[in-house]
Amino acid sequence: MTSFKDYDDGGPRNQIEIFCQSHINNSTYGAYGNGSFTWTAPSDINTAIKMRVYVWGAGGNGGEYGGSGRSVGGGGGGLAISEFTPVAGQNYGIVIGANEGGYSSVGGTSSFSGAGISTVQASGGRSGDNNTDPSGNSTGESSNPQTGYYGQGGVGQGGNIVNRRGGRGGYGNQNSSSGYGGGGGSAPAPEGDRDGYNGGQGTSYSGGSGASIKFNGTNTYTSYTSVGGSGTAGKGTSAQNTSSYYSYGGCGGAGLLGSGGSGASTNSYSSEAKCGFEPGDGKGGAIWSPNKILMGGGGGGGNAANHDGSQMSSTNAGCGGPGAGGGSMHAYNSSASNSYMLAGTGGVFGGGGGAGQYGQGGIAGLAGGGGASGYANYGNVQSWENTYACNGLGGRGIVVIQYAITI
Amino acid sequence: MTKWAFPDPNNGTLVDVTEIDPAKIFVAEYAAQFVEVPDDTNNGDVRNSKGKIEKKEFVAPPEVVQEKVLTEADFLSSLTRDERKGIKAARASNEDLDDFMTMLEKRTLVNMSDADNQADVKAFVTAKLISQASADKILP
Repeated sequence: MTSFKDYDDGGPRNQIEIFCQSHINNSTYGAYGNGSFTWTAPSDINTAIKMRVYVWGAGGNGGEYGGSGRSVGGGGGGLAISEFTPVAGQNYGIVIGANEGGYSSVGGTSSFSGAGISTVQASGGRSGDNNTDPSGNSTGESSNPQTGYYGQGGVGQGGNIVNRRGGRGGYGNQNSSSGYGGGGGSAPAPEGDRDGYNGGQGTSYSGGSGASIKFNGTNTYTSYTSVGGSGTAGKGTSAQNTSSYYSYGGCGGAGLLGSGGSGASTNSYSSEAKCGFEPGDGKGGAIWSPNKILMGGGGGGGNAANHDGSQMSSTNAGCGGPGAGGGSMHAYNSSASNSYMLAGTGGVFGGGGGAGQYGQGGIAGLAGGGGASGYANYGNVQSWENTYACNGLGGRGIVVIQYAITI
Repeated sequence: MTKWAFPDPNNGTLVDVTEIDPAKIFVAEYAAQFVEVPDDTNNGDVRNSKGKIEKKEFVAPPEVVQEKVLTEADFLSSLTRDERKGIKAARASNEDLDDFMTMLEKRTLVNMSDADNQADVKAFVTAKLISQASADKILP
């Protein structure tokens, strides 16, 4: 729990608390259970001002393991927002959705409950090999088609302000020599104005990028190219072309509070290989205050990789800032060897980048969907303790409460 | 202790495992779909069509085999001075040896986990260009 006391940002509330932990159920394989907390309204809580509760479910994982499943990115968790009059000294229950890590699983459900209020909950996003239709849809937007698509987002339920869906994971295709993973979907933005956005689609050897809370992830333009993650103020770009001599990664989308990360570049010749630029991470920060939650991050830059004869050069992709998606990763040929580069992680609420075959899909930020690998041969039991190469994990759920105390 | 979980209709995977009555922490529509599960149930276990709980299988990741890649300096340092002199003298008359050394010089490294390179080194032992003791230092 994080508490910012005595903060004044001009609104009616003056307290914010953030819950985002889960816990280990089984230390043998790191299975995580939902976090469970009791929050007691302080004795000096101002009952004249309604408290506000945000509930996001956990994101889904990338959906492939060793030839099984689909390389679709994970869906983002849903969002429900409620306001109600608090009761001093009363206990309220908080559940933080966890993520057990399977490529066909469902992210955990988060909730806020207590006597005298309607329970507020948000279900978790579906992993990339799960085509369950999340129940409780009512927003009418198209982020979850409800017709058997894989990697759909979770859904908010019970919120008296708004209920939103997470974005769907980007499309991918598993193949051991030319697979491509979709980027993770995003969770809905804290403003609650829209559903989350969909992850980008990959192309042979190349993953799609992670979605931000304001833009879909970007699709790759062609094979052997990477794309930048979408930012909170713009989409990422796709690289145009890659040859045996050069590779230039796509740039991350702009952020409301900072720029997107630049794409990486590499060059190889018959007698030399070098990395021109490492990928950039998305810049920009976030504001978490008693009356405002604003994500302003830029998207992460895409990776670069090329190969001329024995000379090869490659980089990982960049990571997204708050609310933004991670950059994607592409391989330089059909080989497994030397294709273990990493897609970028998403910022909070953002989706992880997708990866080409044998690459590591990007882990999502809280409530975002994980990026998929085009072919993940290192373990189907993803967990927070065993983070070896495989699909990107979805982010855990998060609950935020804003209220006022009498000063 | 009573425990509940939500069985994913797609594949029976159990999620949102909880020791708290789901009706108290989740909305009614969702809580109604929970089932009672044994105490040792974890997220990710599967409830099959007969209602039996199957534990989530732990699959260890494949062992990562580290390739043995030697730089030119490392390779030559593994040989005795007499062996290095012998190789230098024999290159003109041994095409395979000359090719091996040329590639080593061009690439500045050699992957000794590669089967072809291992066969070359073994052939150099047979040709008495290098000793078995030196080969043992070079080969994985």
